[in-house]
This record gives sequence, structure tokens and C-alpha cells, in this order.
Amino acid sequence: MGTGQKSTLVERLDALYEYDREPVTEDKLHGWKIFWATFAGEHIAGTEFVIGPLFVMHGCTAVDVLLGLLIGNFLAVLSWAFICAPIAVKTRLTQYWQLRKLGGPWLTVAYSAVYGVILCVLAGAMLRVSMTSIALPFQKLFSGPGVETGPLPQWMWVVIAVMVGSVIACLAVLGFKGMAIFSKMSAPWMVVVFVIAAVATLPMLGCHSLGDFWRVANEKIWTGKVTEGMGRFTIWHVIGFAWLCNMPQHFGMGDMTILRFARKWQMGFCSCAGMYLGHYVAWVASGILCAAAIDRGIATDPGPIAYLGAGLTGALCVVVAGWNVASPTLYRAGLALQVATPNWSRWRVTTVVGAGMIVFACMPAIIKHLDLLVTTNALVLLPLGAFILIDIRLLPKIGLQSNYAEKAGSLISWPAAGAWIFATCFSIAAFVYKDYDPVFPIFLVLPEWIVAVVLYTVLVAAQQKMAGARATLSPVATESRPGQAGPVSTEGRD
Amino acid sequence: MKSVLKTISFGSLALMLAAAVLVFAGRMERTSYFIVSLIGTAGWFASVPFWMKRGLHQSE
Repeated sequence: MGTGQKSTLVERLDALYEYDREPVTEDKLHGWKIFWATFAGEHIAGTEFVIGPLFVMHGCTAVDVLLGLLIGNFLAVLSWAFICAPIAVKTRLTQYWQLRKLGGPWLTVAYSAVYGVILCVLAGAMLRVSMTSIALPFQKLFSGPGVETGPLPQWMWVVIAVMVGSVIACLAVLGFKGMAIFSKMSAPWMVVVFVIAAVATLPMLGCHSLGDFWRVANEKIWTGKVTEGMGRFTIWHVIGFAWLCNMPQHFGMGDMTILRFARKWQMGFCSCAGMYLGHYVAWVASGILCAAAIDRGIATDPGPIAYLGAGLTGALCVVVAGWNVASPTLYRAGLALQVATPNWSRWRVTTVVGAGMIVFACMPAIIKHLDLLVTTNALVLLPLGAFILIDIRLLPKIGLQSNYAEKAGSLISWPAAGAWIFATCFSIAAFVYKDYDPVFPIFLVLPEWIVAVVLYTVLVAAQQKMAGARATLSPVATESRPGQAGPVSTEGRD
Repeated sequence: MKSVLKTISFGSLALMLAAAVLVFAGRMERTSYFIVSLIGTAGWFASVPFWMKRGLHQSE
């Protein structure tokens, strides 16, 4: 690929994010209220109908779930408040531009491509969630003798995926703003639907008063029995999962995009609204619905369990919850992948990505193993957030320069690229070593983060030392490229 | 006007919650609860677009 093509590719990517290039100015900062609402709205989605039941099927006990989620979500809130928010408030930039400064434009191209594919898969999972609700009336068409409903054949799932996926793709092509506004408006209603479905379902499990709850929780809901084909979750898995399922947003710095508008870093604590409504109340509620479905011999898919809990309102909630997130996710996937598709218009990229989403949605495993999918997403994107943190917090303190790729005018920072590839390969190797145990990757997050941090720091130190040595040998060259090998600055980016 | 719309919105959600609590207490049939939930849903979505502000992403 020629230099001309390279610059065109980078220019196009930059143009996509041009609007966010400058740090947020003082007059655009927001107060507490909007962050409470934003976090509460963003963490209640269709996938909550899947994750709650997963804890039931992974054989968790009531203590594992109720205490584990309490601790795991607390750790997630701390991560937003002490890791992501202070960096966002300090730089006032998006994760994209911060990454570009430290890793160079080519690293952001690679990041965008990977992120686009991950978002495409996640949009497929959201679509599948919606499909389980839309499939409900069709299941009556496939009923057998003495049975009201029957399982749909695979071709029928494909038909539903194409129908529903096409609508979602059209919405994404037309622009997701309207959908995003509708998403915000439906969030409080969705929380209520989760709660009422669970409360109204408890009597079906033999819980008729608050005093019965603990007994029923242990004997009927989180019984500790593992469903066939699923690995066993302990309280450590629950804590780890609750903490890491949004790892790309907090440790991975994805929410710099939101928190850069915060007046104070303490607004990172507003994430507790999303965590304890979406990832506690909703997960516990959907676990209760799942247990009731198992008790009655009903499929544990989101659609059937929501219908069992709240009738048509529940089924509608699953559709809304899936669409709300699928459409913006697809839009963002299209945006991220647009860079890799020369001269393609936005609508064409989004349509192709929509086709990918439909293909993924046809796979039942996509929601059966959603926990593994979410973990993989976290593991792939985590190192990049670690680099941002280290670049801003640690490097200036140990006498190294921050944002070195920008200062040196590099197309790519080899320490960042090397550490990203190595840290990801480390996790893959550990996963293979554990015989592809599907519940093991949860425990890889922290080791991978440490590997990424250590390796990046060492490689950056080596890079800047070598550049310093080169500058000492040829000072003329240094003068011609200011910033690359000048006196080591201890200033961070402010 | 805005406060009336807000009252309708949150009243609708409260209605849904009350119906579920009544089912839990054994004082309402599930069929009635399903209908009340649908009415609450309609009340929420009919009133909320007129008062809820746009979010962070949309306002920027």
C-alpha cells in the first residue's frame, strides 16, 4: 500500500471523528443529573434478559449471585470513578483521539476494525434477543399434538432474523438519533418491567411473602445445579463477570467519550445507577424469570421468560430492549468499519454490517454463550485502555514522555502495537492451556491487564531511550524533527 | 402542563408496580395484571416524549 493510500485511509478515519477532535470546552460541561440518567439508561438492555438466566444455568447459589453481584458491580463503579473518569476529566478527549496521540493513526485504524467486528457480533446478539420475543406467536404454528407451542425450525429463525434485522439495519442507515432518544425514554419503563415481572412471578415458585424469599431463592431459583453443557460459576466468577462485563467502558476507557463532559471526576460514581439497576436488579429479576420457566418446562430464552413474567408487556420489553441497543450498535459498527472500505458510503457499509449481524443472529449459541462473548470483547480491548492510563498517569512520573507517537510523528507506536498483540496472545494461550474452559477467561482479565501495563511501560522506556541515544549521536536530525528526541519532558498531557 | 404529563408518566409506572404487588399478595389475577401492565405501558409512552430531555449523546 502506497503512502498516498495510507494517508487517505487515516484522513478518512480522522474525518469520521473530526467533530470530537478538540477537548471539551468549559461551557459544554454537564452536572450530576445527566450522568445519572445516561448511565441508568445505557446499562439496561436486552442482554440483561440473557445474563440473569446464565447465572441460574451456570449453577450459582443465591449467595453467589446476590453477594457476588453486589461486590462485582461495586468494583465496576470504582473502576469508572477512579480509573476512567479522572483521565476523561483530565484530557477532555475521546478514547479515539487519546489513543491516536499515544499509538499513532495506524493503531486507531486497527482498533476501529477490531471494534467494528466486535460491535457487529454484539448487535447480532441483541437482534437474537428481540427475535426470541417476535418468534412467540409463530411457535403456535409449529405446535404438536397436546402441546400449545413447538420449537421453530432453523429456516424460520433465519426468516425472522432477515425480517427483524432488515428493520434494525434500516433504522441504523437512516440515522440512530431517533432510536437513541427512544432508548432513553424507554429505560425507566424497562426497569419497571423487569421488577414487576419478577415480583409477579415469585408466587409461581412458591414465594408468597418476603419471609419466603430466601428459602425459594436457594431451593428454586439459584439452586447450584449446573445445566448440561454449561460450566460451573462460583462467587468469584460472578464477581469477575459483573466487574468485567463493562471492562471496555471503564478499564478500557471507552466511556471517556461520555465522562469528558463531566464537571468533576467524581461523576464517575454515577455509574452505580447503571450497575445496580441494570446489572443487579435486572439480572436478579431475569434469573427469577428463568427459574420459573425451568419450573414450568418453558424455554429459557428472553422472549418466553419475559412473556411468562409480564405477558405482552414483557414480550414488548424484550423487543424494545433488543432494538434499542442493536440499532445504535450497528450504526457504530458501520462507523468503525467504514475506514476499511474505501469510497463506500455510510449506508452501504452499514448495510453490509447489518448482513453480518443477521448471520450472527441466526446462531443460537450467540446468546447461550453471551458471557464468553462479553469476556472476549473485554480481553481484546482492555490493553488499549491500559495504555491510555499508563501513558497519562505513570510515564511522566518515571521521566518518560506521554503521547510519544504524536510528538514523534509516528504512524504507529510499536510499543503499543507489540504490547497489545502480546497481551492478547497471552490470554489466548492461557485459554488454550486450560482446554478452552468457557468460564476461565473471566480470570484472565487482571493478568492480561498487568501484562499489558508492564510490557507497554518497558517497551516505551526502551523506545524513548533508543530515540534519545540517536538524538545524542545526530543532533541535527533532532532539530529537524522536534519532539521526537528532544529533552525528556516530565509533563503529562493537560 | 409538564407536571401533569410527568404525573401521568410516573403514575403509569406506579400502576404497573401496584398490579405486580397485588399479584404477589394473591389479590389480583395474572390476566388482570397483564392488562394493567399494558395500560401502564401505553400511559408511559404516550406521555414521556413530551417532557423527557434528550441525553448527553443527543445534546452534544
